[in-house]
Amino acid sequence: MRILIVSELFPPEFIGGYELVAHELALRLSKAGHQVAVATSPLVNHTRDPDEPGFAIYRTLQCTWVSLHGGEDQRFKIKFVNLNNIFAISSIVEEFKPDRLFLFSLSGLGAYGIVLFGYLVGLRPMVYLGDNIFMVSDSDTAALRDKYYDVFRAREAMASLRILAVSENVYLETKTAIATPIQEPVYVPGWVEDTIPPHRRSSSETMRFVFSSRVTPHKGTDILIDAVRILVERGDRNFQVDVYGGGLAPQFIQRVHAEGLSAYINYVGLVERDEMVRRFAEYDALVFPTWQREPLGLVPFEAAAQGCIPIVTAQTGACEWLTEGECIKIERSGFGLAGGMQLIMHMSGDERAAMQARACRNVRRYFGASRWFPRIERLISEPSNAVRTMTPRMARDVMFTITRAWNP
Amino acid sequence: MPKSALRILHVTPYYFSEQSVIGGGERYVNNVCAAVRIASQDPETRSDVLSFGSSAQTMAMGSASVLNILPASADHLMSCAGAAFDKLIDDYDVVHIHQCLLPFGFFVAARARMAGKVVIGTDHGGGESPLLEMFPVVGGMFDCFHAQSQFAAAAFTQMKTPVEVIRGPVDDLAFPIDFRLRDPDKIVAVGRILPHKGFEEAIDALPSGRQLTIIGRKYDNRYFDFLQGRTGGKNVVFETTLDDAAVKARIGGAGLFVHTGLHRSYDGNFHAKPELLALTPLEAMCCGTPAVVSRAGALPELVFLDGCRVYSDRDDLAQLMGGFRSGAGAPDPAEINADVVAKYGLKQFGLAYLNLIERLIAGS
Repeated sequence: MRILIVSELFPPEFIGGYELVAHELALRLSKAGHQVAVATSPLVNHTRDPDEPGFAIYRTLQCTWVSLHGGEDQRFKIKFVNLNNIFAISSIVEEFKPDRLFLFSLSGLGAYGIVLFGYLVGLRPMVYLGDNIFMVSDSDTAALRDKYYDVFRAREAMASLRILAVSENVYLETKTAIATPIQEPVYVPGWVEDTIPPHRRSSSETMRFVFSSRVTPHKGTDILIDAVRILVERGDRNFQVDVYGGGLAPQFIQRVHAEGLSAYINYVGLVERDEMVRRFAEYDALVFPTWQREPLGLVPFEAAAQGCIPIVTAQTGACEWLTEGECIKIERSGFGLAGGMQLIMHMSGDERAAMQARACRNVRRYFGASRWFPRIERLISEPSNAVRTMTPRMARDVMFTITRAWNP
Repeated sequence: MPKSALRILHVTPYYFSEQSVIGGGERYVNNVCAAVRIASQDPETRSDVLSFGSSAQTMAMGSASVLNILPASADHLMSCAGAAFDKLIDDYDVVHIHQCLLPFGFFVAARARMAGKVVIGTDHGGGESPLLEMFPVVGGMFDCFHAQSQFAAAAFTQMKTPVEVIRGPVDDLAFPIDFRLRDPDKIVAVGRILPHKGFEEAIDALPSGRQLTIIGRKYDNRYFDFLQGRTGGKNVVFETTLDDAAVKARIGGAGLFVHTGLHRSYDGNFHAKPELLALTPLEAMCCGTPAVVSRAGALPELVFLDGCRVYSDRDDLAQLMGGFRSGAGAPDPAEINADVVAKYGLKQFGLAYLNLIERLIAGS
């Protein structure tokens, strides 16, 4: 197959798990013998892509929310159709001639328009729904979405979109945002590299917790600080939390200092994903008090596969997959997280080791990449039954004409 | 290496003046200029300032520095850009940008970069652009960040640009040791009347028989009213209009200086960077007056100074306000002065700063 992947960011530029999964699937599909190309936005914080990624990368898309120009494009219709991106993807399709279109994070690319374009050229797009990329935040935008459907005859395109969803959480949120009939999803979990053997270090006197995600309040960094303060006030002081990730690190460090908790919380920085996976083995538990709408959260799976027990907000996508025996599900609050951490700290050594071993064994067994990748590959391979086909150029020109007629 | 004498231009959105802002970040720029003058072997070395105001002006700053004011506003970047701005930058070898994490800072850094200058940035807690979260690459506009404390250095986490911590400078010439007779029962606190200064902590902890004088411009009337209501019959005096000379006299005649900066102010607001250096306790120690400081921001880093103690809570503060003062528990004023000048004074800073610039120029 010739597969065109579209993602607003693509490593080495990334925000979180969504882009990392796009990268991983590009690699795996490429290694499985498929021709793969990736359409994404330019590198900004990095100078170049890896020398031989194994697939072509077109960095010609314009992502509005990480726009090089800055500022959200106030011409609101760009949320639905970004003609720059339609023209760029059209050129890539003409050159690369894909027979499959595999969509990832598109929020800043004009997601609705890309689905329509893929539909018009007969590629019958499939989306990996790692987040709600069709978000509609207010009633004005919702009204505009409905106008968009009418003006572009786009409901058919949305209905034809094939969906791989990482959780029911994200599927239901997306379904509400799209607000026109869409297909039922196929659910795929986060998966872990099951060929890396676990290598847990021997446990030490001090309980070691790890946070590994974007350092930002919605991922729970403020809750982490609250929880640590609560533990210290309760007299549970024999622990350490190492924090990995990029984002609002300076503000986080300042807050930790302000709370007088520098002895318990240590900001380490951002490390490569493979290195992070290895480091999970050095910790007793992962703290992940992320927001309830977290579509999945890949990190609890990666941590658990190294025997590092995830402590996770109960309503997240990850908790749809992980059982109580493999993780600790908490209410999203400082007290909730402190309770989860206390549970780990006050388990007997044998009990903790047993839970770590169980988490490691089960996650590897049920969420191993070798179990899930062939399934995803099979789903992509399903033949397209597209009813509409036009040339990329014609599809592009149709969308241009309607857009300019709508927005003269 | 520059062929002629070294020329450094400090670019700051506001300057230390009643016409602009009377704040530590603005005074700091003046101190760096003074430090360069003192430490440089070459009398031709220049360390000048560019800032913005309502009309174009050029003013002398001390004996060898010039303050250039362009008619523009740092909040409206386009108003800063222009031939006069570029010409000034062209005349210097090094551009040192203050409040470097604001969009203003990136803008000036990029312009200086285009002009081929060595670019240094210092944060003074005036805020940071959200751009940094997504694009740490903008840190590459700078050759180096200078941090006045370890706490200040945390603001540059995630950027690949090197960070150099050089402590100080406090203007030890403007705040010389005061040998007059001190009144050990007098305690002073100096700072703008703003919630993050936490003056209420000092009022609450004030032992009986002592007088607390709070000195600073009123920037927040509500907070000022709150403080006045907090005194509860204690001997607390507010001085809100003193000039520099009078402030120095109050500090020099006191037995103790307190700095009660905090992260969480009385109104519930959180202040991430209340103190990145804390000039006022350093100035007090230059005068020979011992200081007691809180644990907020960079303040605990002053603990290695002979004349300084750090408190952890109000009881601790009350105890220190009672027992650590000039003539009783604190070192001799001359010792306090010598120690702070050696560690935070103009000359030590100027030497380290010029050394940094030499390395940056050699590297460029």
